[in-house]
Amino acid sequence: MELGLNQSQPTVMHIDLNSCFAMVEQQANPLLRHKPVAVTNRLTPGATIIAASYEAKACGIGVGTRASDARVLAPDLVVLETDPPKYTHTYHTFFNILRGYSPDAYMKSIDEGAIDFSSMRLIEHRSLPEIGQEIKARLKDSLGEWMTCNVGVAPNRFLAKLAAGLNKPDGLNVIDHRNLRGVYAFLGLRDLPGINYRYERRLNMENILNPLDFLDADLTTLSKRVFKSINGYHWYRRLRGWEADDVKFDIKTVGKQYVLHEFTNDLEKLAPTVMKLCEMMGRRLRGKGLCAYGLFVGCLLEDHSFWHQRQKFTTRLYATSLLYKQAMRLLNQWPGLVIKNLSLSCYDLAPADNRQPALFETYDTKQWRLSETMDKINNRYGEFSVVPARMANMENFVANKIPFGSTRYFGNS
Amino acid sequence: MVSQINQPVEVMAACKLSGNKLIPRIMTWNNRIYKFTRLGFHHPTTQGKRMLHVFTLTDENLTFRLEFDAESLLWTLREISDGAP
Repeated sequence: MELGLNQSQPTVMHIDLNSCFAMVEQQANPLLRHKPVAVTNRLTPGATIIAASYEAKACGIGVGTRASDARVLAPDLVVLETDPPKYTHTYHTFFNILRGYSPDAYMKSIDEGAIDFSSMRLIEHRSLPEIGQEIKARLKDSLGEWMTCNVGVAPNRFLAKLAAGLNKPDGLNVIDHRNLRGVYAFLGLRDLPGINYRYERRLNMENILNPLDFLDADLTTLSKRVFKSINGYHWYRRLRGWEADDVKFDIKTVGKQYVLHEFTNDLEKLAPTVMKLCEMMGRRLRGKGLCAYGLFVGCLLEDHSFWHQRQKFTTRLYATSLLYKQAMRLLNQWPGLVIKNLSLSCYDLAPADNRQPALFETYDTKQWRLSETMDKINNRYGEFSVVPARMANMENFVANKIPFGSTRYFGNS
Repeated sequence: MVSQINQPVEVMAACKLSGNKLIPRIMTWNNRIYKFTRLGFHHPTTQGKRMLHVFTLTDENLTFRLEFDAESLLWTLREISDGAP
């Protein structure tokens, strides 16, 4: 099967906030503008940078650089701790701007959104580049003059994202069938969204060395030899500007991960933290109207190995107390080494509204009601206004950090 | 460098009909008057059902993070930054 380039008018727009967290911090604090700025989840030398300003990027600092290494690259680097309410407000403002243009606007991550204009008559009277410029102006009006974004316009989501990645920061680019080959000629394989080192190696093994080779490869090579799956067909379409990415994903897991302040192999010392993580995870689960049938516990150990255990249950996991009880049961099987990092997550999610227990299920109404009542009090008076006794007198708290890249918890993406 | 302050302060603010509707203009803290030249960012946040409005402003020497509690109608100076590492 031969498929030509998609020659229809570009109708997909991808908008990407430039270095979102760092840019928001520079917007908020004008004294930080034109300076290298980095944002981490914690202000410790070993913390990993999750956002860097363009001035910091020019010094070689990027996502994943350790703060201590970054300070060597840029001694005048300003490192800030994440401020989730600021970024949450930015996300909602950004999304509201996009939603004003189409009901088919959606957020791909906290700092990337996309709009499919194909069902809109708006574009009969205005070009997408014009709308893109308007979105840039509205972003500045709503959030501040320092805020910039990159806009990409193309006939499908993949090419729109690729277009948004060109000429950063504050660029606006259109890719269509007329300039597609010209754009590919200037890029490497890993410049294509979705192509990582692993895929690049697989492509290289079939003598596909650059995006033009990738575009010219036939469907059989891609589906039978490179990707060995339907992914080959999806790439074949995607590269040519046809849509292959209009799949929506439901929430599959709810979880929490935490790097311990004090590494320990004493489960008694760890118990309050486990309770706190279960309470936070439980609140997220209940907030979404869900319960879980599976629980996963994982630990990063002092020897850098990762121990984990998972189990499916016949009893629905909903109340914090039950999540805690099962998490501790699983954690009790850990090999005894010092724990540095703890991960908990629920899976096999289901709606929680059917309270009728299964035939052999033990169902504790009191615990369900207690958790729900505690949630109501915490919603009214603030997080951890009332806590399980296990968490009493906890000195360190597990701060709510923005889940990197995820928008599942914002509820309207 | 960011210094945590967390002290109540007196603030005079301008109320406008469009754009940024509430902009702090002058703050009195430790018997000293600070005049803000720019609003960097404003965002609402909540503590339970309490609405808090967070303003980040500068007088071109320092940047101030002010929090307005919409329930108690009190202003609190949360932190100061000099823009240095």
